[in-house]
Amino acid sequence: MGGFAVVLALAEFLAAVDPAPLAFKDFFRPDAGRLQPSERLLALDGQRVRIQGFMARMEDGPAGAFYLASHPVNCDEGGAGTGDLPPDAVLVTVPWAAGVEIPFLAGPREVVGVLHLGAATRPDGTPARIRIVLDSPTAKSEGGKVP
Amino acid sequence: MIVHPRILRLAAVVAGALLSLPAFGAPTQVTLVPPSGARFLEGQRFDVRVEGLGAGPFTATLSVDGQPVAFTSGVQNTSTTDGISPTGWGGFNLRAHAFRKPGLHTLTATFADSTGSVSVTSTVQVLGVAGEHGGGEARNVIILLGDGMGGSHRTAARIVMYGVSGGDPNGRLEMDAFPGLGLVSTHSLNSIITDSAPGMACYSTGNHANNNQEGVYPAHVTSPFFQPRVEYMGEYLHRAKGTSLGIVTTADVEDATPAANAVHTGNRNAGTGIVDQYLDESANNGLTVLLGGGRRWFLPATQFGSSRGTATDYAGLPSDLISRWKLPAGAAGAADPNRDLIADFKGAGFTYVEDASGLKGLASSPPRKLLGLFGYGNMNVALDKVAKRRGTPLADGTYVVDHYHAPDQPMLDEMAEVALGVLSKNHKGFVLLIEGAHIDKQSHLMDADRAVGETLEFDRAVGVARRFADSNEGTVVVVLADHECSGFSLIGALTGGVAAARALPSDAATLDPATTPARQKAAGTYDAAGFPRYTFLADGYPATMDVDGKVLVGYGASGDRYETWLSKPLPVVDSLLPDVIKAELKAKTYGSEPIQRVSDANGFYLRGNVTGGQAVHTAADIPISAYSSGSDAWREFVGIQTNTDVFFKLMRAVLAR
Repeated sequence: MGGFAVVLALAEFLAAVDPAPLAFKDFFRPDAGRLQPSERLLALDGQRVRIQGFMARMEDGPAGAFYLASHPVNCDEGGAGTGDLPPDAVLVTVPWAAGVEIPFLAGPREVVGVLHLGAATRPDGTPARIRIVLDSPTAKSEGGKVP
Repeated sequence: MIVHPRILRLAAVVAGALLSLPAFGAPTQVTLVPPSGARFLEGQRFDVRVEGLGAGPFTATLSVDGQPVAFTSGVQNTSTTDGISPTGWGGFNLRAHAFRKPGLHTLTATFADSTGSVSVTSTVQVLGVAGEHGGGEARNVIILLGDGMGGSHRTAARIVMYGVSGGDPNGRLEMDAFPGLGLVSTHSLNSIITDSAPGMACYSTGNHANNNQEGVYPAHVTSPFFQPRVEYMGEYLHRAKGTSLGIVTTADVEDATPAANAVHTGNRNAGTGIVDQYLDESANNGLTVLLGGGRRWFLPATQFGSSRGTATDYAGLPSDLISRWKLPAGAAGAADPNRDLIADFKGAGFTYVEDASGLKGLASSPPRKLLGLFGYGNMNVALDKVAKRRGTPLADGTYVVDHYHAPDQPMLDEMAEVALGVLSKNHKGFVLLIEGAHIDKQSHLMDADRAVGETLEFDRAVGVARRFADSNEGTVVVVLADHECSGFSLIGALTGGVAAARALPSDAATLDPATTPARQKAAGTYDAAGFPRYTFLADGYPATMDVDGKVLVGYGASGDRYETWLSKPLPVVDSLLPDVIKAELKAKTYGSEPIQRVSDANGFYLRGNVTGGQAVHTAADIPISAYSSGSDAWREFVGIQTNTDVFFKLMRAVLAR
């Protein structure tokens, strides 16, 4: 578990170069009643981005992924446990950890990866409209290519 | 306590023995539901299913009280049987059966595959509608469920709200004033520890269910929505008396407690299907009011904020289920992630609101039907909603409710008030669930201040229900919980003051048992606890939870945590400055500690009793408080009872002849 955390932290650290900065406050148009994606968010679809937030601690978290939220959040139980997530929470997929429970890391995190927008459902049924596929630990050594 | 004859227990033991004696080579895991010991009200509908695992083709027979009865689905001598059993399984169903005659009834089934046959028996009890204290005078049922609320939650809320002088509380909560006080055991069908799905369903069906399941019996079928059903209170009374159903919660309406009043599923997480069924089967339960969070499930998947997806939906309810339960053809379901469910609710005559202002506008002229979705997921907790109303932001100037894109959320008592205005239009009566959901959720998270705040909010809704009952004779009100959460315990009060507690050096590294952390010393017990005093503002909530001498809470079913005793300024205490983050990453300051609120980083470490990082539900009995106007129905709830008893007592209050 500890080793896994180190790998995750290393991935975040090594990949934190060049990607476009993105902030949670930039996700949606502030003038819209319902959640309407901002032009900036739409423009970054498919691009490498860097975003800062907090890993949501979940009693029943998604395998091979975690949610990144704008502030610390705890989600209890199944079902509406995900209802404790703010609607702008980002599903961060860890490609090299498919099927593995990602250990919780407290405190602020910086995540770098490729942003994907649009309706999608993970194999475990977890829906997410805003997703980031985390850079692999080797992304930097490969010249920053998108994995 | 309602009848629990020893003979029924004996029958259950005998049936269990029969189950355990399959013939050599016969199919395995042969099961008959309802299980032995199940109880029904006369006329209450339920599904019967016999299933087993083996080598097809399969055959089965069923007899009820010795008389052969035909299944409504399941083709004999095939491997596919009812078409909803997984590969290798055979299943045969009798949908929507009911007994009219009170007493014990015996269901006997045989199940055979190509290798042999197994016989199984289930003895169930049917209760008449006559109660010990009469009944039948009530037409309205209000169930106020403080999720996870044990006796200590109530005590904590009372102390915070009123204080104690000379050994006596200075005041009583609304729920304290109810005359009928009892205890309820909260076990589920498959564990001494229930979760909220069977925890609520036992009150609304009179039957136990497995954890994570609501309104169904356990079964091996290809969709959790195909599992054998048992009729809800709302369905029964709508069918029998034309009542309406109301559901009001501070949770996502997909959550287990609200759904376990109207939705039949073996998977409490199947949100898309759950919210679809609210509407698609509303003709069978009279759903008239649905208020809470969970807008995410009602938005088409093409919209941001939507959680709809096929993986959490269902399609093609079995035809015998539809016909026997007299569901409309449109209730079969469809994999429709792009469904605009809000539009469909509106099309069915519901007025839709999504903020407190909109809800308030309906108070003087309640609509015929009402849907209110005040957040994308769970609504926010009372103290965070109040902070926005007061204009007291977090240190960074922001508000929690704004982070959730739900800046104008109603309080639970405001929702209850409008819901009662809508439901009381039906002179045939109604069933209303009002849930204070976050008492449980905040107890899971070991956030004592927010859990107490939720209990205060919930108690204000209790007051709304009480006043309604007083002005609407024929109303029975019960206040209870589905289970206790966290082993919530009042252990004392803070000594030395809040300012001193904030200034204490970090205890985080104090792990040597020989060293007492400073914050542990600050916990005043016995005489040192004294009499905590909180100041309340005009909105009915404490000015602050961090008062000198504040109430301290421990947790008997805890997860790991760092304890500071101070309120958690959730959500943000650390800035997100990139330099800070880089420094933290380099130093691995925020490594893989199992649990740690950022705001609790200086607290003293308490290893939990359980793994998983959160406190858990307990098997402790929970208090029930009952009140009734125009009848003595409240007397039925005095004493100790099982959770399923509550269903029968409420039903008798309405139906007894």
